[in-house]
Amino acid sequence: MARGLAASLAVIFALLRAPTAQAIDCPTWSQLWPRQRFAVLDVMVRDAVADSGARSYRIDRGTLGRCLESHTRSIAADIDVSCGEAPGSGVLAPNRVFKSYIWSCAG
Amino acid sequence: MPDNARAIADRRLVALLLVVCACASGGPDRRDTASGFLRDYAGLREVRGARTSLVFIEPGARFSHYGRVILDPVTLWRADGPGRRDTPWAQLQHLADYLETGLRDQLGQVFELVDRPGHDTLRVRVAISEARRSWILRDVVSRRRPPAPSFDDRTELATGTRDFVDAAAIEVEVLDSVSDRRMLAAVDERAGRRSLRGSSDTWSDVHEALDYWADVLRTRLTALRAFDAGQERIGIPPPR
Repeated sequence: MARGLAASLAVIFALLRAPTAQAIDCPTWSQLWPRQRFAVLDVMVRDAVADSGARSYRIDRGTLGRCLESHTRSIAADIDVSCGEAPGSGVLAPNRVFKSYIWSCAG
Repeated sequence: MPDNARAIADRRLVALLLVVCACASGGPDRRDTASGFLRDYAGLREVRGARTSLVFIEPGARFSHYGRVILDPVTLWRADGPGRRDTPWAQLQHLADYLETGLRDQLGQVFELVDRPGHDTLRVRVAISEARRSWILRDVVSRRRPPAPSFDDRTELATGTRDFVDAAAIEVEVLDSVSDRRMLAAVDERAGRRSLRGSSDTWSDVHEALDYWADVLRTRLTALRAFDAGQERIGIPPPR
């Protein structure tokens, strides 16, 4: 229990310290507490609208970021479902879910 | 029965019920949205963002690898059978031509538009469809030429055209141009009414809606490119 919590916290700290988020995989996601999951999603949203990426592609970063932030609960729930359906899918499931929200939020 | 064995039997029963329920539900039912334009509707999932879309994204897709686009002609898929309203063919042709022109303008801002497949080239397919009808036929294919100038912004739409636009969905499929692997598929239902403020009575409304969808497609594809490019910059390898 304590070891699992420590591992989860290590993941969170690593994600938050990094200038940009590493892709999170299903096994790691499943170890996180809900609050930790939202912290991870916050970092992913930050990455999606980061200057280095979005600015060079002429995207309305404010609109995209606000839309993604307002849907973090849905994103988390959908990642839960996707990881539940394919727990061995590694980074693919969370990434795929997040990108589907980028698609729906952009524009 | 010992407790341990009973617990195992109970778990098996629960697992069996879950499997039966999953088979019975079969995931999201997308038959009612299938026009036939997309090769497969089974993988689409509803996503509520700025607008509700049905989206499939290939797990390993990396959009940042692509700098060129082959844009296929825009097609219109209309319901057939009883209740179909007569709609001037020229107006439907204009819809397809206008959207293709808009897509070329928008996608051309961020991709190089080409005609031949290549390793860094996406194939983009777009259709306007009456997604909730039973019998759908591919009806009109856009021609790569400027839309007819006869459809002035102030001109009223024919009734059939207005109904079609109001109920229309935009369907998109993005493929790797070499392998033909599907990277993305999406349906935005009732695209016409969603993007129009009020009813669509004139060509001005319709042009505005089609311009809007061309802009949205560019924005969405570039947002995915930007996200994937960010992931690559920090050294996340492409998923296998």
